[in-house]
Amino acid sequence: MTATQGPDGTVVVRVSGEHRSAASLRVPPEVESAVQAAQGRVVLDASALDGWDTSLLVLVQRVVTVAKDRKLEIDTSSLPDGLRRLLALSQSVPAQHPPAEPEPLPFVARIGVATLGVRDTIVRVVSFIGEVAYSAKRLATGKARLRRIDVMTEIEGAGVKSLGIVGVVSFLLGMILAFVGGVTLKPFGATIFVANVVTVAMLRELGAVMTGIVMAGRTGSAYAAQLGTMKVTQEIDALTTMAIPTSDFLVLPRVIALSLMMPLLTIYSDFIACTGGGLVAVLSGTSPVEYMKQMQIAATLTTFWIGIVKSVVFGVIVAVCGCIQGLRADGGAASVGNAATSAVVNSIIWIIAVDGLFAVVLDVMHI
Amino acid sequence: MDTKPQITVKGVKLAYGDFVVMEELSFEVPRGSIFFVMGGSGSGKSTLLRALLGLGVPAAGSIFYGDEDFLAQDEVQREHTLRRVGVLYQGSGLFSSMSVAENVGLPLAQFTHYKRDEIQEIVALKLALVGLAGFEHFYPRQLSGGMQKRVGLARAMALDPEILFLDEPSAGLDPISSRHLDDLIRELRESLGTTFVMVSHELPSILSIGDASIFLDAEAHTLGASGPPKELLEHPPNDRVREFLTRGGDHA
Repeated sequence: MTATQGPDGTVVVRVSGEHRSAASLRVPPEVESAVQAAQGRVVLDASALDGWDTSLLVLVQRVVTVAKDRKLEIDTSSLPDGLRRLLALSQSVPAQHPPAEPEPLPFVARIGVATLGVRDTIVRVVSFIGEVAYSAKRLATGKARLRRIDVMTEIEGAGVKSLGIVGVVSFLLGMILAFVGGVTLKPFGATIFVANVVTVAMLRELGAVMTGIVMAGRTGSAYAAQLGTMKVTQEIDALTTMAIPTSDFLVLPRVIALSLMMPLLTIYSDFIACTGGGLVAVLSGTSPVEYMKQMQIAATLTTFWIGIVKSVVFGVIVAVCGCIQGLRADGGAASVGNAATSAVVNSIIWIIAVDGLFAVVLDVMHI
Repeated sequence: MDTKPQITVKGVKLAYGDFVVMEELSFEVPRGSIFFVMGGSGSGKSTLLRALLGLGVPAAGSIFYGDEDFLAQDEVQREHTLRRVGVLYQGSGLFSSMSVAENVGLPLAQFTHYKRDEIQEIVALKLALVGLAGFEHFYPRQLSGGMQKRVGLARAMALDPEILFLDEPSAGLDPISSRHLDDLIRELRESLGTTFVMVSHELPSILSIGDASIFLDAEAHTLGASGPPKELLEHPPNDRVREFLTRGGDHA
């Protein structure tokens, strides 16, 4: 692109050669200053142009814009027809202006907005739990709108299909507990109490907590992603307009599935972990029979039931966190991802917090 | 100008397992034409489009882009072929986590040497061409369906492709927007010589801007007819083509 200025102040901008995917989209400074200095007319000369694509259009458009700003007459007659038409098209379209970005709020106002946000979150969570409670009531009276097959599918997903991962985690956890317990108790000659460590820790606390955390990562996130995608693709809207409560149709099967499967998975986890712990203990010299006897002493029915009750509560937490986050999703793929992340994070925090609460309450009750 | 067909399809068979959707598909897409793929629902239009784009593999047959045997190409060559192609997907396929400018600028940032401000410039131009000047900082979800389509088109033509595939571009558009889109497509073909391959049910646009077409016959599982849409309307080769082009009756 070159420019020459005629005696009458007319500037001729020449484009020549093959002009595809231009190396630079910058109008050469000398051309730009020539157009700035032009008087009266700017002529675009493309007589020596061999080929072009829209990168040339960018350059030409810039020259035209500069010339128009200076209210110069522009002669584009020598440009290829197509280029001239595209130029007209890109200039003719009235720029549609997006609404202005809102002004950033002052600091105090932002605190206020954040506080109101917290209030909204609490209201949303409480009303969601309320809705689920109503659904549960309808379920009890046989009026809930849900399909048995959905419940079964969720039970399969949360139950049978989780056995592998829960088993692996529990087995390793049992072995670790036995190993750490063994190392610590050996100087006291009390290695037999490894059985107590493993059994009580698993039955009372870790069986339920670890299963809960695994299920949060495995199933809670899946719930959030499923429901989030359904929200994005208007499936939730379809349910709403059919007057089928989402809390019945989508949330209830998941809550039922997890609160039924969590205790079973916890029992399974307890068993596998005790096996793993026992294996380590036996390999480091404890006799299997003694270990079994010590386990029988350690594992009281109360300890066992505490773990089971907790596991039901954790199941509800994971299901509710997953569903509530999924239903919050709006917009695109990113919001579904955020929903899945929040579901896992919230589930784990609540599992740990509620476990702490259990510990305090049980301590006060001397159980 | 090169007069060889842009795309040549020879004896292509589309199937899902044992279920044959279409077979013995042979046709040519002339260079610089606006080519329509017509056919009833379930006739395999979208499956054909996926096969042409390498997203699905036909059960038999071959596809040529110019002289290059697309199905025989390895991954690198295929990428090279697809670089010359732009696609507007049925659901727009915009990246929801990116702004309009980032969506349109992505292919430019990935496949050209242009600097950031130069890309901004091209993006602004392409958006102006589709009538969305000034919408750079919007996110797809803030736009109407028609606007999303136009952003999708701007992204598809970011790299000045030789061929633009449009899957039901006017679905979900009002008649006036649809007409504007037709004008834009014709304008781009005239000025840039782009070949358009469009899957569409939109009879008004098929008849007004199409210069070549094929009709996929869902019952015969093969090509029902091919030729310029207007000629097919005047002299329909069979009843199914006539019904399609006259919306089921003779009195359109």
